[in-house]
Amino acid sequence: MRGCRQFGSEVAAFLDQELGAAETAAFEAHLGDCGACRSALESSRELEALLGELPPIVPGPRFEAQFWARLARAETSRDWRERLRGWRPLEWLGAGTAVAAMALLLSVGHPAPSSQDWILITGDDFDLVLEMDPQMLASLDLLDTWDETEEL
Amino acid sequence: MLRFQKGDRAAFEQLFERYSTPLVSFLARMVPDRGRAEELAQEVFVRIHQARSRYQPRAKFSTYLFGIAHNLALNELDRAYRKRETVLEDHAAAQLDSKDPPAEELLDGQRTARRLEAGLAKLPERQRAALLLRSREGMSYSEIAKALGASPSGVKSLIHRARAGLLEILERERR
Repeated sequence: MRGCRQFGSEVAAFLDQELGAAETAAFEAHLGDCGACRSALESSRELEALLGELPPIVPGPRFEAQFWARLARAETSRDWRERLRGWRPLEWLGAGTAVAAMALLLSVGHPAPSSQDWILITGDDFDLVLEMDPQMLASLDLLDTWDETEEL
Repeated sequence: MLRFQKGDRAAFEQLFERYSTPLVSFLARMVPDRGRAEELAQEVFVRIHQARSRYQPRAKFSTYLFGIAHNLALNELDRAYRKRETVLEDHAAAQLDSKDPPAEELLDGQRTARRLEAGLAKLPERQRAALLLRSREGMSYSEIAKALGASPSGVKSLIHRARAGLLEILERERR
């Protein structure tokens, strides 16, 4: 496909019918005068025919079964990712530690709870039980935060 | 794909059935390892399955499919083989695998096919991808451009260079 500097790069697009109307007309007019382009076009046509005749590469006999197994694994993995989305254990651990520390600090000087009250915080994969005086807890104004975590 | 997006699982199975062979054919000509090509083809379908809720029909489904396949193939080539020369030599050698019958026992057509496969394997990846999508899948330049993340004029150049390069390789081997 050497030889024509002016139109050589148009051969492929002409063969693939990807030139505009004006470009096609110009190339066709040029073909009459340019042996190099005619030769390149002919070679490209032969090459295209050969490429078209190449046999397809058929997947092996286990391809389909392997695929469905792979898809099942991927779907399971995706379910877990979605369940864990937004779950930030380190942040929660930090927040939990802070709550416990504040509760401990505030309990100094307070009378011991008259009864063992507890609050259960549940997530998809965990339960957290805090045993403390609910009034003290309310005074910390942290229940809203826990509501948010419960949504997760 | 839109039917599958609405929950029609049979529609996905039809897509899988329809595109498995073209996809494996494409990927097996893009990466040197046939087994790996099949794994990548499976990965393409897994990704399509998992992205169903986000799918938007901005282009033909085949453009979307081969776009993913092309990206996975390039990642694979980048990951496994940093040096292009190594890839191409390995790939070309794989096409002339010694498990096949010796060249003299092949019919003319088979010999030509082997030479062509080996020649394709020597082309730079993007040229090869563009030519395969055009010549084997019948995609237009604008579709190929979307699949490869190139401009239509870039695709025109890729295909021109791919054909010229392949003809030159075949001519060189004929001598």
